[in-house]
Amino acid sequence: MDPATLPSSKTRKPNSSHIVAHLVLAGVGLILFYPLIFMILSGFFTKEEFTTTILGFFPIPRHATLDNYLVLFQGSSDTSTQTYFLNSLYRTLYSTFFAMLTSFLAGYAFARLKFKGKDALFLTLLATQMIPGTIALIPTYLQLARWPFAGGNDIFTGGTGLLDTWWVYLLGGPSINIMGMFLVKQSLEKVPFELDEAAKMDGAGTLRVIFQILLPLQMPIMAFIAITTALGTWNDFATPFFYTTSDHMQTLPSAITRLSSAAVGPGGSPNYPMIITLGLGTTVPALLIFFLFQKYIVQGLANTGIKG
Amino acid sequence: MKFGNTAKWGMSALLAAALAGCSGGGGQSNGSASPSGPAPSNPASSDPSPSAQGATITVLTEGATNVGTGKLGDLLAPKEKELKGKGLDTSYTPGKQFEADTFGLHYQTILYNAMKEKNIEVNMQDWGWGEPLIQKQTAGFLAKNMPDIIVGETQMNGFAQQGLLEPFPDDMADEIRQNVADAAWKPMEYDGKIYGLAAQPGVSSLFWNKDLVKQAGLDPDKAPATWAELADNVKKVTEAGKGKFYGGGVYAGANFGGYLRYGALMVINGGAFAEGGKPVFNSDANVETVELLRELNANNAPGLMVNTNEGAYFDAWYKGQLAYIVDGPWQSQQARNNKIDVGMAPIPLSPNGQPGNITIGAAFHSVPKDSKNKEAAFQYIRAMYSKDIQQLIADSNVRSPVLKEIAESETYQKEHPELYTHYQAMSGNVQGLPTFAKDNSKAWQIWGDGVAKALMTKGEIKAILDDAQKKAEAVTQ
Amino acid sequence: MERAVPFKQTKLKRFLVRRRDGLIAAAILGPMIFWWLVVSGFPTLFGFILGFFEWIGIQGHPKFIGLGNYARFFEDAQYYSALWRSVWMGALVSGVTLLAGFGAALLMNMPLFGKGIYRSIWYIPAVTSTVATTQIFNILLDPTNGVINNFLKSIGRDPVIWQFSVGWSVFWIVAYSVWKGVGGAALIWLAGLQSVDVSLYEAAEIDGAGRRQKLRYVTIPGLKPIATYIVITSLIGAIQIYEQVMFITGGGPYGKTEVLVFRIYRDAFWDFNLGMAGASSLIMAVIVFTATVLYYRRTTKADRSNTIPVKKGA
Repeated sequence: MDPATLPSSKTRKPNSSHIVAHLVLAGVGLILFYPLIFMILSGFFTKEEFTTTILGFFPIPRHATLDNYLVLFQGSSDTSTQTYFLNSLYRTLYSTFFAMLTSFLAGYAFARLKFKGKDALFLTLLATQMIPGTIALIPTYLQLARWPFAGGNDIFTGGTGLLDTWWVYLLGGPSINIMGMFLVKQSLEKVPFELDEAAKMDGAGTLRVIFQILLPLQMPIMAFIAITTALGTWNDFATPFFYTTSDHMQTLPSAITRLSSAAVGPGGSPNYPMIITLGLGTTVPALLIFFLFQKYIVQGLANTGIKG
Repeated sequence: MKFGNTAKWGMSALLAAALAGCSGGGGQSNGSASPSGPAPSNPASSDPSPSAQGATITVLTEGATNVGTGKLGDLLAPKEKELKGKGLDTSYTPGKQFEADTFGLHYQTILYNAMKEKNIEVNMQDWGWGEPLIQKQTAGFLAKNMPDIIVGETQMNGFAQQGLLEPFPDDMADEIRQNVADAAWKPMEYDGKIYGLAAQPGVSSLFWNKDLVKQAGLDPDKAPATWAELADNVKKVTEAGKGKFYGGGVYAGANFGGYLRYGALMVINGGAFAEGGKPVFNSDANVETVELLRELNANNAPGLMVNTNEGAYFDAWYKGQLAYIVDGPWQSQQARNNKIDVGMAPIPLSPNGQPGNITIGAAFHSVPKDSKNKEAAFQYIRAMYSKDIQQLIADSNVRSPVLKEIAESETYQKEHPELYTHYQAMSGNVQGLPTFAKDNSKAWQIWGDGVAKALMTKGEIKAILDDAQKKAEAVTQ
Repeated sequence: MERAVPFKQTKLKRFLVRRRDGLIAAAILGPMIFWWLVVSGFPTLFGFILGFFEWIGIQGHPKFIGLGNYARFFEDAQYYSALWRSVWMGALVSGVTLLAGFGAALLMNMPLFGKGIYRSIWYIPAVTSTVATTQIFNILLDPTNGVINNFLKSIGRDPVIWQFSVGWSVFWIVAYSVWKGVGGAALIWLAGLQSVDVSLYEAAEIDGAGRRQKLRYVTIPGLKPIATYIVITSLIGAIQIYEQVMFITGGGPYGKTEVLVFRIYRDAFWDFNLGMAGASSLIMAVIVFTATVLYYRRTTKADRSNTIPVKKGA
């Protein structure tokens, strides 16, 4: 049950404000969704028709083709969509679990524990989020390539280090989710201390307080972190693209990036309908993740308040 | 390897790793004799491997010839099956035209057989194209983790200037100079050495939509021969179009798509972007070229010629709204695919102009300094200008071959007259886009913004280019 | 520990009790920070250190030049004006995103039929690929054949050359960024709204507070911690936008929409000027960091005096 915070929780019947809300949410939602409609329709165009037609708000091809969608689902002869899908899946599961665990524990430490240099440490971690990601790409590449005693390296050089191995995903992908940690910290700070203390009076240990008292209260926040991490990892083409090269290491988005590179190629005009369809292709699985789990974000938050 | 192991190493080596990272760049000082240009006195890295026998080379793939990634030998059969599945004829007889979509398969089959003869195995890798490719290549060079043959477009000349590429062996370079059209290698020439080759590059030509030209009361089969004529025709077509179609001319956006195309006009007029890495923006020749661009822009659909997005310009062409464009050889085929009755001719000349051009749409193949199989890699590049490959390109009828022997043969002239004209434009004064000595992208941006300003505003062109020159000099020092 | 002698045990116990928080924090954060240092801290630090070197070209050797790159940053208009643009465009993007997101969250928080669908539709743009969707924007904004200009022409208006106008270029960059970000902002606000203690609303109602008063005295104070989070994170994100600039305007018209991260990107990958890229990144990070610390200090100070929303409306 969702708490009706605004307007008054006593209002149960739909009223005029509900109609306005529906109109606004649906109207703006349609505008937000419009570029996707355009993308879906574009996917049915051949390159020739797409370039020669003057497109309207809702472009309908005269000679619809499924070719672009077939490339998306089947790939070209060498691509093994199943491998990419499983790679994406494993990577996403691992990163999501890792991010949830570390965000929650670290958020707890910063919200609940008193220790020296807490604010400084927290702000330092936060500061790292302010660095443009582009600047870290080259150092990260160097670090993976120079990783000692891996991939044919002697102490630092000689081979390819951890590049093109699963270590890229195990180490680099799910780097500590500092924004998630921040979110848990902010959210936990609102939960009264009395709750922890009452539990401790009842003989609960620290771990029990963390996992049985506080964690359930943070489920919506954790769901948010899980969904955003999962979507972020699922959509991340850069990590596989830059740090791996083998075919069996690719994920769906990185494989799609390669296909669209081939659609641009040297000279000639890019195959826009195909690029657009491939771009859409990364979105669909991500959307499924979202549809399945979005309800947890806003579920059961009503009981955050102190009971009794 | 167990996780714990690596973590332990990571722990003990955290500080040391920082040093290693630095040595990725700094430590190279021991390795290469001079920071810029080729370093011949580097026995460790520039000695070709003693024998190419039994070598495996990794090669980056590019869109036009792509058959997938992995061992080349394993890729051909599935590719053929896929093409057959689409109902395409996958046979090829040299001298006969074939299905355009099977080009990659035939190209790679020929290369695979040529390499097999020399006992070289080829492993294809896909590093993408455009911006992602450049990023990955830059990082790869820093980490000295490069394939044996890399491929790229406008960035490759910069890599050569940075001393990251291995110059072609002298005998091979001589052979190329003698037998191969300039467009294939001139843009990759630096300090008297050749650093890269494209098997089927292009240069720009003038294309026109015969229907639109006819509607303006002009002869649809006659190409304008001079700039004045071009500007005049453009004006006439635009007037006849009454807002439905326009004269067009040349795309002039502030990006490489623009520089590559109107750069050809600059070369014709004796102008240039840079000389010896220094900007030469405000020469009289350049001012004249920009004056032409301004005139063309004034008689055109508003916002099209200098649009940030080159797609908008070519879109209008494909939609039959532009009469003239300057573009690479593929256009004749693509325009026909889009049902445009297209004419093709050399780019018109300025009053004192000489034929000249800029290579466009080229996939330059180069061997990085860090390659461990240089000799085998050069064998691959030799195969790219072999008769077999060049004959295939000739038969494709999409681009022109670069091997003189094939392109200048009577059969080619007779069977592919338009692409033969294009081939002729690939010899002589053909250049690549220059790389500025320092802060390359900034210098280009200053130029592109200057031209955009000159076209969008009514300011004096000379003054605008003088200003750009001053700024660019400050940047490149 | 059980086998320790009693004397030691008490001492140890006292130590453990006194330092209990610190020890737990060390146990939780220690491994995490170590991990983080290895996989992100080091590469970041390395990027920063490069800012003190002149390192142009991959084969060239890094030469220590101290603050030379930093001095150049503030002498060269290409840099400081790009930074200024990043700042104000970032502020604009995050301001609009947060406000629109908050409004949407208030609506989504109502007991509406089909809320889940609204949430999903609003969030969809966030999961799309930037390369593909900026392409769609470009198709819509095409000066001669664009969908929007065709529409304008069909209703008898003059078409707009979006790319020639600084104002419109900024507008579309902001519009694209808001389009992508508003659903995520709405979700976070929504999570925040839902975690406001319901009993406080009931108490406020008993005290006779109206809808607006409840918003002012219960909802907004209750949202403070989430607000701190979302303001800081969205600012950090918005100041770093560059892909939409690269793909929609390319920094044009004549460099008027160029933002700092786009400059950093080209310094690093097109000019091999890693020193300048590192220095620019550090300057940008310092500015964002200072703003964050000031804001964070202010909000946490306010929070300390007022952790649980007090029923001021009563």
